[in-house]
Amino acid sequence: MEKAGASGARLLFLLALAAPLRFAAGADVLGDAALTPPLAALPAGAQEASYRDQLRAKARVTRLWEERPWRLLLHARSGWLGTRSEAAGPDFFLSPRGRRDIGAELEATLDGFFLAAPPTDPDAHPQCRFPARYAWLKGRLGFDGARLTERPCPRFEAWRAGLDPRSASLVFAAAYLNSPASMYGHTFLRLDRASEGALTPLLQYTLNYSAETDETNGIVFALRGLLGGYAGKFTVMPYYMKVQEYSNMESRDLWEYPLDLTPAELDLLARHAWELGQTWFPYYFLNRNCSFQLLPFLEAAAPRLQVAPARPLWVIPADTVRLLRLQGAAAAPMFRPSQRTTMRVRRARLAPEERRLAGDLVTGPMDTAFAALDSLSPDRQAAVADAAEDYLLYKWGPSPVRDEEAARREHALLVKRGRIAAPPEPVGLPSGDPGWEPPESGHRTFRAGLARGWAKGTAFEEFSLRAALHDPLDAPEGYAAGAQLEMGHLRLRRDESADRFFVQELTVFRILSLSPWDPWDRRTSWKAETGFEALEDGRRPPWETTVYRFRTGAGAAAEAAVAGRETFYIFADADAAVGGALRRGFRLGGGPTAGIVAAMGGRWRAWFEGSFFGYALGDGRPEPRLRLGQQVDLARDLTLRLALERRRDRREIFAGLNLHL
Amino acid sequence: MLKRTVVVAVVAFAAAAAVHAAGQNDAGCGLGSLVFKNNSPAEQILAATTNGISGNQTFGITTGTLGCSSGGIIKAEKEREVFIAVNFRNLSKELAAGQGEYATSFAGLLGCKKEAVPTFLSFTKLNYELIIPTAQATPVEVLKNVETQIAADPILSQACTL
Repeated sequence: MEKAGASGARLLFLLALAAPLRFAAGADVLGDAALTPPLAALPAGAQEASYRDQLRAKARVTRLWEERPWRLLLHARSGWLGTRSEAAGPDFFLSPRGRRDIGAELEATLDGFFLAAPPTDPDAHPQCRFPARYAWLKGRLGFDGARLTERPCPRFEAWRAGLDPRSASLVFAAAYLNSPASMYGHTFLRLDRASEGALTPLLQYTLNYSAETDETNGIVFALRGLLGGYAGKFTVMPYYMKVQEYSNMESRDLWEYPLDLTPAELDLLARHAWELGQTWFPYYFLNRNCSFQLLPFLEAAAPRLQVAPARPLWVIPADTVRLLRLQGAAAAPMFRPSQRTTMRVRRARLAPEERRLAGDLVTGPMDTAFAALDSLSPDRQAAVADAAEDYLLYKWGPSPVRDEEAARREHALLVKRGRIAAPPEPVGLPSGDPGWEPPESGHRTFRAGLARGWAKGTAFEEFSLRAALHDPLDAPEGYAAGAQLEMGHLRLRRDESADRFFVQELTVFRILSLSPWDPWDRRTSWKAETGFEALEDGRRPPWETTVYRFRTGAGAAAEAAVAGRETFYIFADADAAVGGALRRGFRLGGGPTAGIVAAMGGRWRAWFEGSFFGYALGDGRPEPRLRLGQQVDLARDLTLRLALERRRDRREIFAGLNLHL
Repeated sequence: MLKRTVVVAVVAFAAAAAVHAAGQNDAGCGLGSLVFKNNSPAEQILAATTNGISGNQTFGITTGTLGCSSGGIIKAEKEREVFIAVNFRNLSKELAAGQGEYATSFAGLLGCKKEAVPTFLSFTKLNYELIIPTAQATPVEVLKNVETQIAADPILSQACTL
């Protein structure tokens, strides 16, 4: 009895192990992986059938499905479940086992090429559904046109003629903090036809990969995106639509990086895009996002490129740009300023009273403003009118549908502009302000640090890791100005006197968006952060004060240029925490936070912040905090940081080195 | 007599309705409204506006021929209409200024040869009020005005093959 029971248990255990495999790999785990029977609906001729068998045999002998170009076209990746395609939409596979057996898929594809012409839709033929596979297999196996009929694909050919790519660019849309999915920026491709005549970049077409959703709530989008709750698809649309979306509506600068691809690679790129159009990929916000998917796509078109990371934990768009630049696959970018950037540049060229006049043209009394405009010289009239129009476009958005007042003003302004002969001054690359350098020129995104510190009665070492991305003390070049975005920030300390490790901080995310007050650009500053933190009240050892915290706030900021460049801010924060270290296990309250971020010269920054939180519910002990941090850049990716901090009964000083990787 | 009056009136009404319907702003096959779904540039905190143009039905690669596009490529005969509907504000701004990428793109879509673009730009700047007569002018109306003006101009009617 006992023996039977033990065997039964072992059998159950084995079945249990097999269950996830079975679930993951599909129904046919125990099937024969070596050969696939030819597809049904065979072509009529015996000659064609034997040629098909010849090709299959040739492919099998050379193990053609193991070659890099085939693996890339199938988006195959090797994992612990074997080699499987990442494409999830079933239409990408001609074999029922194609997704997990790319050899079977190759044979099914060869079979498919021999099928008779479809009665109603010629483009339903496998040669037309998979033109990239057809092109590669034709070249690799040397298809004989007499024995394998090449099928016409009218819809694919028309689409390809519409795209006709002669060159391609990778476009990077700068980070946009107000949307969780856009905080790290976005990348897509622009495919350019031969630019003859008046064919401008705006009229070219783009290829974009993104999650398919109509979700408007950013938090829901972020959560579902993190868990892979969306299908990612490739879409095509004119570049001017993308420019309206990113540049004009969201005011994100665009960086256009020319890609170094040969005509054959561009041809394969178009063919493969068509293949991908019929499928979808699981979209994961962290590591299978918009930027990631462009890399295997580029590799499929140009197998000589090695740009897709093998098993990324996370993929940050700026890093993909950096990688392409380092490999020489992308050249230095062209800059396309957003509506907001254009407005600011035009305004900066005006004298103070001209700025006021431009503002009045948009929001002040129209008659007096227009009369004042007439009193200027034609050149200055043009400059003021152009700045006013840019302000109007920014303020009321680019939609053709706008309110009556805006329409009236804009029409009057543009009629006036039409009568001013002087041409507009071009808005090129602005210099001097941070946030306007290309994204790959900034410090790298991952940070590791070692520090030493002293607090009352003890000293400590700190080891820190930060997955992403940037805080106000980091060098601002290449990052959105006034932005802090941190995710996965771990600070591990070892207290020397107690000889004990503890987690000082484990932040899930921390976001701070400072928008300095600007009469033409009034945006609220805001923050949100959450994570574990050791409260360190100075009365108990730090490892006994760990809580889980959530904080959010809104406020205002202002800029000045006193000793360099300073940003002042003041916030009203709401703060909540739970943890055994708190009386009653939680607290809920809030209070003011104020601070200054100062840049003194190119490589030295300071950040001073004070806050005072009181708690109405739960543990009512108030939490005052003062912190002064400073950073000196030793190199772009090596920095020295010093900090002084004071909490309720604890003072601490620390010095450390950070390395960006 | 009455019957004939009624018939004439009905025909006139139907004709007017047809003209009115045709003149209604199509907003570029509805693609304009697809682009500007969330037109509030100032305050959008925690929005999911990435890929605000989420019309995968319209821009999906394997989407067959719709009204104005196929697989995301805009049909040749609809290109001007879609361009002006989506870019109306930027285009108006540049037509008034007499220069810019949107205005040049527009000239290209009207079939103007590259050498004729400067002529086109000064023409549209000079005739701005004829092209965009009021603050309520719609993109479709403006397109018609431009085409009319070009056809009437001796130089541009040759240089821009409408």
